[in-house]
Amino acid sequence: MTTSADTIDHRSSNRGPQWRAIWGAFSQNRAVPIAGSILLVLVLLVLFAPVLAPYDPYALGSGSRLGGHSFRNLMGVDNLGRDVFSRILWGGRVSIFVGFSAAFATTVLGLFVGTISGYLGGWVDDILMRLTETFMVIPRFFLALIIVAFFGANIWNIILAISILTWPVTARLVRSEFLTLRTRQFVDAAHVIGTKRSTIIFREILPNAIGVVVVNASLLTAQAMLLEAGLSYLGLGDPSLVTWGRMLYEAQPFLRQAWWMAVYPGLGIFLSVLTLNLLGDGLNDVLNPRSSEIHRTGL
Amino acid sequence: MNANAENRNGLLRVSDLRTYLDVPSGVIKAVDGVSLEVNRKEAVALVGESGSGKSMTALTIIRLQPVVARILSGEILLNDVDLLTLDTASMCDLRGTEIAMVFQDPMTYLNPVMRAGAQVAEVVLEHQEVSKGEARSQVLDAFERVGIPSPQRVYDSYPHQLSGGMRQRVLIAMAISCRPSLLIADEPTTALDVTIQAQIMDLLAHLREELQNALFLITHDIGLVAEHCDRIYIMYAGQIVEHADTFTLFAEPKHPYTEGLLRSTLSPDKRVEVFETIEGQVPNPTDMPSGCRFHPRCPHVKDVCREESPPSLDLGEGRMVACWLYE
Amino acid sequence: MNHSLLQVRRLTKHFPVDGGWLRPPRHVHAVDDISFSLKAGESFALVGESGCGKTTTARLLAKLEKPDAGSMLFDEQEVAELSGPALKQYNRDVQMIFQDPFESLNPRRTVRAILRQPLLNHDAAEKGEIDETVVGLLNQVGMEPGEIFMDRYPHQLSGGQRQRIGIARALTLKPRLVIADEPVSSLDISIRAQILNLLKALQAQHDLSYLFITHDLGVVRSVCDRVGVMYLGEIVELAAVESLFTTPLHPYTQALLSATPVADPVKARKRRRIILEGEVPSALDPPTGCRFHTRCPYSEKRCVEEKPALRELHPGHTVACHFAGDVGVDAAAD
Repeated sequence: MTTSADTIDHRSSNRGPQWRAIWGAFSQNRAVPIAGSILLVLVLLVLFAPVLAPYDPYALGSGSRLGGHSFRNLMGVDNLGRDVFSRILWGGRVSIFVGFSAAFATTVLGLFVGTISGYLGGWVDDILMRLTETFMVIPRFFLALIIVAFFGANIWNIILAISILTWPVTARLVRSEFLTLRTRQFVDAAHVIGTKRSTIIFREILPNAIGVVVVNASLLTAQAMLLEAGLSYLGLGDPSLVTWGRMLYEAQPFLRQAWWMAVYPGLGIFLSVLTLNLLGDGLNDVLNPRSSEIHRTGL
Repeated sequence: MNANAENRNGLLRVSDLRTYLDVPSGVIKAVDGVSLEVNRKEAVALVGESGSGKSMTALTIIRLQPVVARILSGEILLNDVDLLTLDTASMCDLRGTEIAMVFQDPMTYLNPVMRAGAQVAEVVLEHQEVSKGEARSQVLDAFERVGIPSPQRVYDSYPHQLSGGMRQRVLIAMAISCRPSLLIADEPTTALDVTIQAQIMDLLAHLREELQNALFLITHDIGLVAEHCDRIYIMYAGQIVEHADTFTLFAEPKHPYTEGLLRSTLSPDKRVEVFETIEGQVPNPTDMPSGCRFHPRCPHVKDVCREESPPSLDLGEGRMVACWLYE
Repeated sequence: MNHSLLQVRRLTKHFPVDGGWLRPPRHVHAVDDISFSLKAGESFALVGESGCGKTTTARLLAKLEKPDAGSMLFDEQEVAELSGPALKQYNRDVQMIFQDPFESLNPRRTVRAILRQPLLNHDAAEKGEIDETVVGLLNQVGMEPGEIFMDRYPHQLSGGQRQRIGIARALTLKPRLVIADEPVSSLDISIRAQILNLLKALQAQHDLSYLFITHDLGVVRSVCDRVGVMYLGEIVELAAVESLFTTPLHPYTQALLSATPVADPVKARKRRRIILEGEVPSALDPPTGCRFHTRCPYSEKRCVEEKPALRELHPGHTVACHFAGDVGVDAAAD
């Protein structure tokens, strides 16, 4: 009784389904590689800000006040004589950092609560879900304003405010994934062979839920950047740091005289939010089990 | 069965049909040179395992193949009209009136937000010049005919309120509402319990007597065919490998695949200690074996089988087999 | 060996259905007061149509659900009361093969990871020998050479191969009882026979007992020793396989047999066919008396009023029908 060695998929390598599927979908979806490259360039630019920035972003007199584009000042000069290009690089560093860390914190918190709620169910689930609802009915932006106003406008408080406001969404997402996954047959099979609870959660269920979480995290990063920009634009950002939102806030009075003060930070926010959203959509196509199943069966 | 009689009774004649599917990993030759015939009032079965192309054959005949499908060659003659040359509008007219289809999973083919009766009435209104009231009474008639115990109630029910067997009856009622001369049934009972399966098969047989339609049954279940069909086509990897009338096929199968299929079928009428099996598995659809597609699994494989695909041999009395053993 | 490995007595499981606060909660009578036993080395089948409670029974035995009443004795120990090392041993002794080989394997884990898990859970192999054990298992279930399958993901395998992995997983812990829930119903006919041969060979090799959960009487006749026929949560007939197939006593069993396709046109067209009217009633509100009375061709007033008890009509052949053995009902058998 032998089985012939040939399998359904002859081209499969050992590297696993995810990477091959991701590659396959990316090669078909043109928006994702483009968005990904733009984002990568942005991230590299801000990472290498110390090397690339020609001036100290806070140094006054890096050029003539409100001066336009020139070889010395690629993106012009602001009202205090600071170099806009240098400020864009350093400001992007803060904006993107806030975006990623808020998304990270949100995801960790959301995963934690969502996992407990979805796996245990019952009254634990009831309590945790009422808690998320409590957070979700509060108008986000105003709570952020209050937190920052009370606890001071430093960057950590802003990250904290954003995370506290957005984790319920992630938690509910993770919970719903867990609710469906835990009734799947392979989870039953894991119970029957005597698998520990923690192993079931981390090895059996979580890897299947992670796709949705990754997609969500990329969208969250974009949201967090927007929220930070919003706070800074209202003057509630960290006053000691330059961010794209703060640059917009400062550009307000000079829109007519120096459009470059507003356009470049605006462009930075626009590009990063757009690319993150495109990336999220693209990842969703790849990692969502339902759409990749269609891909796999070939029909 | 001589040539003349065939012509008089001929209803559907498919010849050399090829439907290929373009998928990311290549081309699937789902239907590759299929020829078959269904005569008036006859019950004919197309038997094959999953991926054999049997459903794609049926879908191509009724011209509902998926968008990724390309029809490369072939003729589908229904009453001497080639369905492949018809435009969409005339094909729509034919569907329902001359040719109709019942599917495996009725839920997929019923609109979940529309009452069952209204959906069937829509088909009637589409094909006949009748008033709404008449359509309704025709549908209720059809419901009664397909053995729905309380037609009025089912008429006003949504699909999700009906059981699987009842939904299949609704679908059958829809299919026969305009009295087609050919009813194609694609695995009509696979999703149902055995006692309900028996009811539905019984119903299809009764309807055939009453409406004098031909039945083209697509199935994987050779046991179902034994009881209900006159002739059988066996399909493997996109091709017809054997054709015979039911009794002959079961008594002396010619093709090694048919033989294997019959031997490995479990039947409640006898106990088998060790099953004879067909070794290996169905080939990868995008990468078919050379020569005879069954050769990697065939116990009687010869050199020629690996190189050349076997011709369809006419064994007389309407029997056909595609195998080098009989050359 | 003649003692019962498994004894199920008056097992009951009702699932509550929330009626909202306007209605009292109702219950799906999934399994209602069923009893059967299984000897070591035996294959016992629970047969019935969807919703008859056969799968729930399997899940109760696999401890995936908790029973409402009744007892399950495994090796003369009450399963519900097991704890500590005894429970751990039960988790090794009783394994399950699932119906759908697409669903029962985690799509994100390799064959190696799937088959290592039970060994890790129970420290059933030395760390250095785990891979060797896994390869051995793969070879045993006909996936030779096992090494080449180790790093594949389930979607890179065919349906039959996936089911072999499911079987290998059930065997890793050297179980004594394997519950097979429709192990071949989602496979192609040519693959079905391969898998059933494998299950039979493994049974002989490892001295396994099987509890088959199936709707397919064809499988039962060739693979099992004894059968329980279930209808709406109850066992209506219990017999040795040959006895059940040659002299089915319960009208439902007779109908089920006559509805099962026979792969022989001569026999198929000659046999007497009983086509049951209507459909299985809702398990939320099962019929009074004999639950089959709404569809039974021989139903009488007594069937509506009085629930028939299981009676032993022939040695080892019990049936729950008031009229079983009477002329009319008997004539229906072949």
